[in-house]
Amino acid sequence: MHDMSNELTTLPKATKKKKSSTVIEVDDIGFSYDHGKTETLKGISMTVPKNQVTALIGPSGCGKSTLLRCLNRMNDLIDTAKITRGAIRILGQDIHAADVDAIELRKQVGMVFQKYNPFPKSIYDNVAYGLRIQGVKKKSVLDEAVERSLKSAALWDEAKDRLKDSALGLSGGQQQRLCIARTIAVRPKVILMDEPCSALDPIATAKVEELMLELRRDFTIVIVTHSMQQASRISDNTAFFYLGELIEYGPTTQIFTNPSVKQTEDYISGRFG
Amino acid sequence: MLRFRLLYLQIPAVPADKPTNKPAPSFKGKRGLRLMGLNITTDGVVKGFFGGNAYLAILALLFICVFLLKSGLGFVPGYRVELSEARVSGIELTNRVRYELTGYKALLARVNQAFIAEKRHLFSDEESAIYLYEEFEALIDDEFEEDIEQYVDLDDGAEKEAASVKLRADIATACSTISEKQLLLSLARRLPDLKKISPEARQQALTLAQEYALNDAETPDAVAAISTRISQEMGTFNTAIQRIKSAGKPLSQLEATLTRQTEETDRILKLNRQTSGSILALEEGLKKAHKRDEPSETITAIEDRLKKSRGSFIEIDTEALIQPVYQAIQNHDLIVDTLVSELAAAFDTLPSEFENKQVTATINEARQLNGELAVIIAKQKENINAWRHDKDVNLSNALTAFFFGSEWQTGSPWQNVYGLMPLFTGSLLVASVSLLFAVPLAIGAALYVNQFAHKREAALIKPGIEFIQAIPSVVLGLFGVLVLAGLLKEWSHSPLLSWIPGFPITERLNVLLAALLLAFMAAPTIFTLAEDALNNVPKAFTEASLAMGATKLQTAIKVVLPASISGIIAAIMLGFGRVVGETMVVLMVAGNKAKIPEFSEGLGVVGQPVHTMTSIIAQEYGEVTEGSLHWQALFMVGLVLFTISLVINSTCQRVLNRKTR
Repeated sequence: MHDMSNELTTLPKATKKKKSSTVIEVDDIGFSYDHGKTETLKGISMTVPKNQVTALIGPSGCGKSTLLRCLNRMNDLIDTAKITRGAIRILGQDIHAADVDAIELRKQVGMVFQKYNPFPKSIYDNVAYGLRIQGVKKKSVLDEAVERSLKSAALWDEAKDRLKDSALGLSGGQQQRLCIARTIAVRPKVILMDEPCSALDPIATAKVEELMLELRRDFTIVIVTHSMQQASRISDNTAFFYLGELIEYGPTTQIFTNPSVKQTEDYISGRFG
Repeated sequence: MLRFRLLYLQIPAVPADKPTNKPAPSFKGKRGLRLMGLNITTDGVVKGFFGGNAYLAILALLFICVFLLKSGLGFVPGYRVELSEARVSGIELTNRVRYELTGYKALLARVNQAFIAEKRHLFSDEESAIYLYEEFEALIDDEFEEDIEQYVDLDDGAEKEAASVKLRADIATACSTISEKQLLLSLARRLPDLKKISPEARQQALTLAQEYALNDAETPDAVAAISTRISQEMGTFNTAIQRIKSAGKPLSQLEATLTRQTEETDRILKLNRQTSGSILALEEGLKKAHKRDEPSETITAIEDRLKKSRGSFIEIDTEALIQPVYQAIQNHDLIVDTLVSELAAAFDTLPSEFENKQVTATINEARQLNGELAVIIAKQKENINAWRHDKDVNLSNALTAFFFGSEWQTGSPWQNVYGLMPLFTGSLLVASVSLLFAVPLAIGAALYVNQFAHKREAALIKPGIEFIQAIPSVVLGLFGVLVLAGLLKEWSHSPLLSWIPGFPITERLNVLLAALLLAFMAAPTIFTLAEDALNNVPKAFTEASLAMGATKLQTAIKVVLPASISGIIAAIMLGFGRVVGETMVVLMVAGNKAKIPEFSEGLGVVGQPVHTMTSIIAQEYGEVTEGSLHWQALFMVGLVLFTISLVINSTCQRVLNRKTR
């Protein structure tokens, strides 16, 4: 497996130093699932640096997935959901501004889900889906994008001879990598991953994790994970959430070796959660 | 590697069980009621109840199948007997001649139509004058009878002259008081397309009427003169039509001769069949009576009746009876050859182009019919010459005659024919056209409710559509026949809608009307099932698509719809099954004309009336006697319907299973 210590030492140390490298800026965000009666997120502020993997960890119900879904406004689909305060800026733009179209936003902020969910179509059609809905019809463009994406998702060698076969014939790990390929085919700026490995076996998990470290070069990745080992293995920064609040946020090495808050220490040492 | 701070949890040791004095657990079950060696428990009874009901349903289904088969399949041998009787008696042969005659009559009707139209076109005024004159004549008879008598009694001279002037003036005044509308109304029967009465025609009619009055109520010669002039002027056309009329006479005569010859044979054959049936029954009864040692009076009574039945059995020599038929048919070739050449010659005398476009079109249609008739005759000539009365009719002939027969004719004094085709095509046509309306409607609504509608909106639409299913079909049929039929016919005559195929429709009850109402009935079925299928598409697909930046519409059409396609196909097929099996509405609004619709009209076929498999059963079951051939034929139709439903349902199951696999 990967040699993590090497990876981590070569990372840029501080995230707040360079303002220009910030991709996502969460500013005192409050979020409610029930028209504002109770807040699920209670004033979160954090920034996500470019070309890094940022992990969101915390016990169930702490709001980490909710925050992730706020970033591409997937929560808009819930009728009763509401942003109660604050703002989220991605690449400097307020994503809740009146002139922002959630559909355009999602083209820039892709998402990979907990349960792999390729469409019941061929492998090719799955990867080409994003471009096709954007109106791309030219076969050469689609072919090129499919090959590039599958290669980036480390699936090309396994899938190149069966592009016309149903995606549902792939194994679980392959399906999840196909979903990643589908997401990166439209070249988003940010990829959100919602526990992408929780339905996979250890070997498939290792492959996806390896892939994430590769993808970091071209994309900014925000990942929600339940596995602290995974967070420590792949992320550059870690944010610990508890009951809708951001308890601690910093470089992964610091969070896992020398957390400054007692709750963080308790959680990562397995005393609760 | 990273350094973890590992803390060991301290788990308290589980205290060991204290020894107790409780007895060891027993694994014996409760004993139920013992009855006749059976162990009856509550569970067993409940299970038996449910299981029994389930098997009862299967048994009922089996019973229906067996009954349908038993009653229906007896039809085939029965029909075979009837068909062979029709052959032996010569009815079959006569039908072939009648077929030719029908073709000729259609042609004649078209030519007649053209003739009348041409006459109206050329002599509109003269014709209306004649009919108008008849109206005035009736008026004079009513009102001027005494005046005319007084006038006639007068001696010639100045007084009479003055009286005639007065009478003329009076008549003119009386006639002019009748409004044009009223006159048009009275003329409508004879001149239905007359829109306006020209002043010339009115004047001419008045002159004739005055002449009639002054002539002591005698029809003036001028009236006959006008008629003669018209027929003279119509010269060539008149000659042609007379020629066409007389050309058909030999064929009609041949048909009449054949009908006379065969009807008698057929009657005797049918009578004998009945008699032999009762002889068989009586013989059976006699045997049983002997066995049971019935009193001698009963036995004698049966023997008497048997003797009487045997006596009424007519020995006939079919060979002898058929000879006149063969003799008559010998001339057939000559007759039809003459007919074809005569018709061709008559059509040659007619000009190819008439002043009135309508007439030209009608004549062209007649020419086309003439061409078709020549083909029919050529084919029937072969058929008729090859026909033998003693050729055997086998079971497969009877089956073919049923399944591919193009006529369903019952209760006729001539021959009852049971051909499925008109009913089958009717059912299929109505069902397909109704799906054409229902499918887009229902699938569209299902997609909208499932993908786009707000929860509150869906809560309004869904029960609304599903409620349509609760409307009793007879109510819908009533609405169709009393309200929609009239509206549809009225709208179809609107010039704005004339682009729709089949418009304007002439029949009030037709395929389109039935299809519209059935679409209304099938839509809820399709909607509910399609909505279920859409609902079964995992939310993950929708989410994935939306997260890629797809709009809701793109997601619905490109992801949700393809993912649920097998469920939707099943929904459509079940909708089809619902429509094919629907009875009340089609019975009320489809027009019930057991004839294969004219598909040559293209899409306009939807304007025609049809009969369907379901409605024929509903319509005719009341008038059949149990066990008769007609009775069995209806069961055959039922069997076909049953099979169609079975096939549709099992295909649906297979489609749905493929999805879940």
